[in-house]
Amino acid sequence: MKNVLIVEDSKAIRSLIRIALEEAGGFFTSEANNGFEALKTLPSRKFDLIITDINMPDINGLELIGFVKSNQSYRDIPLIIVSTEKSEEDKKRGMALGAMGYIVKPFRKEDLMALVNKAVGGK
Amino acid sequence: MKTDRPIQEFLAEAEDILESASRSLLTLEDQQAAGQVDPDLVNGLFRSIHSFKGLAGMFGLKTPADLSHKLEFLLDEIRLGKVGLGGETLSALSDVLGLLARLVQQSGAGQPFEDISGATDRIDRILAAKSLGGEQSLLSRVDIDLSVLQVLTEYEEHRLKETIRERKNLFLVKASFTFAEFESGIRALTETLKQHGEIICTLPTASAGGEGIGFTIMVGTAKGRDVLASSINLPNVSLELVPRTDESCAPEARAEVTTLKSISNTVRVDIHKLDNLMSTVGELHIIKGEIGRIAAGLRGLQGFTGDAVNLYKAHKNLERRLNEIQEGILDVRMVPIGQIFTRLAQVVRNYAREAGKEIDLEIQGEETELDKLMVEDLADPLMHLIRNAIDHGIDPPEVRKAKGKSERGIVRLTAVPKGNHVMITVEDDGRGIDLPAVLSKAREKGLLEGELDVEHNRKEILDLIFLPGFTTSETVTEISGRGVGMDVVKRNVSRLSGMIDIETEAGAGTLFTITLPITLAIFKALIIETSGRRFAVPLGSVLEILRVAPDQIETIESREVMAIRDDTVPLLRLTDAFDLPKGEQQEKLFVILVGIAERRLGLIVDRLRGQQEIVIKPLGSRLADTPGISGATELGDKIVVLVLDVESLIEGAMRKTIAR
Repeated sequence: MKNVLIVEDSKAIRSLIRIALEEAGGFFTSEANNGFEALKTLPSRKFDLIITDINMPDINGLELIGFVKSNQSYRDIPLIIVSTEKSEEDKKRGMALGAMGYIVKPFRKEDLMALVNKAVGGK
Repeated sequence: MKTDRPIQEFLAEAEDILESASRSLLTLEDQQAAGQVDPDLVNGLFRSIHSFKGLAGMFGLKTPADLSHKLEFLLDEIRLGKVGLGGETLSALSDVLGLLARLVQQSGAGQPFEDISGATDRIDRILAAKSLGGEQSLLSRVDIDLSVLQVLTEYEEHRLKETIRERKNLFLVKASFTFAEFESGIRALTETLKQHGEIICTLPTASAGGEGIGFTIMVGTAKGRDVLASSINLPNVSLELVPRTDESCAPEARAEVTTLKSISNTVRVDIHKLDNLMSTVGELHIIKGEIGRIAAGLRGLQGFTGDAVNLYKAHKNLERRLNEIQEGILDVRMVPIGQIFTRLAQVVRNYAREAGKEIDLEIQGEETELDKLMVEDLADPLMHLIRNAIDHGIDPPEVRKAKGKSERGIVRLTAVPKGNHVMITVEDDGRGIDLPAVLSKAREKGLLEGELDVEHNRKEILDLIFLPGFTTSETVTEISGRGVGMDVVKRNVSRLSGMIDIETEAGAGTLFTITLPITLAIFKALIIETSGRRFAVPLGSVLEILRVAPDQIETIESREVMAIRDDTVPLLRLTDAFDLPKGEQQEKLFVILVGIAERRLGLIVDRLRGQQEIVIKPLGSRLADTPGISGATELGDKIVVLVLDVESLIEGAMRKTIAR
């Protein structure tokens, strides 16, 4: 089982991502509604992947990526950015901070899973 | 990626997003008018629409996704300062939000989407007219660590530049928290800082010691270090002024900008927390009552000396303080009704335009205060009354002109406090209600059995429009043909223990009056007893208590009535209303004269059991709709009594029977 943390402030989109992962099988998902929740959830288990939105209140996705990448315990966890084409600049910044990839909403399940599988070493 | 399962989640979430966006927009309009726009609000609006777009896209709803994409683009330009917030921009934002809400409804109902090209063209025109801005060199004017700069989003970077441009002070507030309590800690700190300026970003950092978590908050403010430092005087928080590189003298000593102060010292509280507090106050009242009884008992035993006096004084003191707490909590619950009036103003604008009518909305008494929960529940009934007025009441401009009226119709919304009640009126200067038409419609629908005539039974005829299944509109219009009838309005008002009255004059207009108690959270009640059972009657609706001999009661058309001064008032025996065994024969009866608005009813009961503050609790779902009963309350000694719903009792008596 690969542990995946989904950080996204839309419950419905979190559900869609979770369902995609569940259908593919082999993933255990944790969900965080915002950056604070993500910070709280991070130590709860050893995550193999973080999928995060950029635009969130309080702590945004870039700040979360910056935190993960500057933290000894988490820096090796691959990150995928889920965002919209509007956030072109922000996406570039996320990649510069060390995210392994990004996917643009609305995305197809297949594209998401291709990226996820690449991130966790494929199956 | 289309899945049916979360579609309900989509609808609920989409509606939530749009509603909060509309609220933000109204605030934004006010702020724009006052010349002080909060960038946080614009950003919040942008984020809402951004989320909406992502959501719509994920659910394969192309039209809403396209429109929100366009709107998001516009809002992005606004928050980045590239497009100004003028009247046309605000009006376009409002219209597009309304259109998005309709698209959501259409997707929920499985209808085809309406055309959005008009709206997208309008946004394009606004974007085409934008001014250019943005300076790259600004960031070089301050000395900020690259590790901070690289995690800023484009928007945060823009706000940082604005802060630099406005020559405000830039502080880095560094705080560390234990892992268990960082969230409450950081939120409290953020709230404090927001009172002094703008939070540009919040960066989580690994804490130096390994345990816990650190944050760096970037704050732009016109205030100096001392002001900030004294308000966040905490051991785990440090403050650092970001030096400017473009001048020798830091602007720290600059005068404070007064407008920033208005970002007030308020806290947001879930009203249910206040309900819980109020429940506790109700229980304290019961305990106070018990202490009162013990004090009286002690006095009986030993006379008014020693501890009997002390206990009496303590009891009085407790009572006074308790009343203060109660008033304090009530005061917190109260909000000006203007909150919904503003929302309604928007509705009037939109509906009048759709209906092709010219309407002026006049608002009075928006400062009148009412319980927050009640204000929210009033929004729908008021909206419906206004829609009705626009749709059925006010004629199109050319018809009004022909009738010698001004072309612009008037809808007047007023609120007036009346003691423990508030009177809200919705008035129009339209064509009035056509009584003969109401009468024949009611007959046609089989809603009317007896004979009524237009001369003598105006009130009864007008009341017919509140019956379920009644509507006089010949064509179901876009505007009020949305499945809500006057019966729903009445039910909503009744649920708030309120009453609705109509007055109308052919050709001159219609006036709806809603009378409501200012709160349902706690009130004084008269405890009465009949046939061995106790009931609570809200004291706010008790006008008078009379002791009458049985022969003062007369019977007219098989209804019991009695003369009180110049009035003949219908009477109701509670034993009849609730199917209780007949009470004992008494020489004199008590008649509790109750009234709401202009209506009166005398309740015949066996005896009175005093007054008490009560907190009303809802009945279980099985009993929730019992006519004549609005809930239950505890009186102490574990005695639970039912609370009478005076409004529905009066209503029932008017209809001659109480449905069981």
